[in-house]
Amino acid sequence: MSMISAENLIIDYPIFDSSSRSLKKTIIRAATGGRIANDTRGISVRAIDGISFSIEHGERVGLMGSNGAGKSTLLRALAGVYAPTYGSLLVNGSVASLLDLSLGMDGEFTGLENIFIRCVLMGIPRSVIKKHVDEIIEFSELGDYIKMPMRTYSSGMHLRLSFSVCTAFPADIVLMDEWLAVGDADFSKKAENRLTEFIKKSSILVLASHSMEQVNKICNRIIIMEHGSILKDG
Amino acid sequence: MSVPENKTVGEIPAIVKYFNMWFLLGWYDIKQRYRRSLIGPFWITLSTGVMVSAIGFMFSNIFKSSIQEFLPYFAVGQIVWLFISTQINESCVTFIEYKSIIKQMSVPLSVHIMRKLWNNLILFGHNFLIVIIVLLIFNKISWTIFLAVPAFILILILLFLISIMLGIVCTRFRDITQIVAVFMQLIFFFTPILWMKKVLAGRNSWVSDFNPFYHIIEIVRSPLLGVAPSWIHWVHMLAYIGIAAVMAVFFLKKFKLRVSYWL
Repeated sequence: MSMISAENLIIDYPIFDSSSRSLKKTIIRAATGGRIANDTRGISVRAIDGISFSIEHGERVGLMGSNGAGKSTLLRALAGVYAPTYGSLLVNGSVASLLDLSLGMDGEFTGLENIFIRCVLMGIPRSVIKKHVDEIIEFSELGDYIKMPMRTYSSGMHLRLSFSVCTAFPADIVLMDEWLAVGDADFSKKAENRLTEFIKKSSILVLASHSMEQVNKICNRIIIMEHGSILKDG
Repeated sequence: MSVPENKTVGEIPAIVKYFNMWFLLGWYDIKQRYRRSLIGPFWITLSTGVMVSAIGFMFSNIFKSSIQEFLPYFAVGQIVWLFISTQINESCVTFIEYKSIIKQMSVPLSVHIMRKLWNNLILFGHNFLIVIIVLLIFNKISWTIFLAVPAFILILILLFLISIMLGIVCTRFRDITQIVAVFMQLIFFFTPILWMKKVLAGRNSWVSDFNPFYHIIEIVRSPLLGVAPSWIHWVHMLAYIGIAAVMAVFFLKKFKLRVSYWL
């Protein structure tokens, strides 16, 4: 059963300027016997400040809060990018991260090659990609453009392709930063349906958003964050 | 079919589990670099070929050694060196180069290192054509060539371990990348590649005896040139792998979860 649970989760970002990233500074620090003590650990920013929550199967969670409240950091922690600095975070189930749809895609490659790149990054075996490739192309409505290098695409086409790839394979847990809106009027209706379908197949959704309206429409639980802590949960 | 669950696996099993990922992406890295070029990565073969033969001719004159002896020696040494030094230099920036992936999803670090290593291995394969041609021209083919295979596998293991270590350290301390580059440039001249060990004639032979790169190169160069590598090179090689493995494990244990924060 898919579930997410965080226990007193703290995430600190180290902030490096060019001097603290350099070796010289570290060596001098060691040589001076830590006299400049306030400098030794560098500065860090506490992006997530000791939050606890658990998300069960079937929950559609809307993450809200102003810029810098820690929403994106939390999503990345859920995606496994940032390990907890303190506390614990448990994520059970496969994760589809829709944080960066065109991750790994490259303008020099054709649309078709980019489908393989994007899928392989999601951990899909090649044989399975081959089976789904036609469906992906068909949905993206790119037609013969699929054989052209992606740098020739308009930004709309670009988005249509990456959207089609990323929503082709369902996962237990879906992470999203803002609700995706893709393409012109026609396509966006189609995309909306596909995304809704995609989320229906998942067991947990975590959606970070600024739009109360969107969150009310989709989510059954709202977590409001501020300065890295949870202000309101429910 | 749905997205497979991202169970945490060790760094070594990850190489098998994520085979598809590093294999395809490493291959595409090459494809991308040589897009829209007619002969693609064979430019590497061509440029190395020209370089090796020009320098081979010139330095065989300078050192007054026969071209039959010097050119194959230099060609093999130089091509193996190119592979090793490029991998070591690029390992420093591997995580920085694949930052966009590391910042978006959790993939074990060894997968990125394998992508880079595979990438350089493909380029080495293109250069290796020159080795084959040179060995054929100078009639150096002998059974000892088979000994080069296990030797080369040891080199790959060693490079993998060093790359993990340097990748982690250089992500944290960006200056080390430059230090490594300077060091690699310098060590080239202290390693018998462009010159033969016998020109030292016993004087200052420590320059090569205590130079790890001498052993690392000699272990594949000598079998390719028809001489079984001396046991001393195998001992050195295994020792380096042992040391590198201990250090790689230490760095992974301590810092692997920090790398994404440092990017």
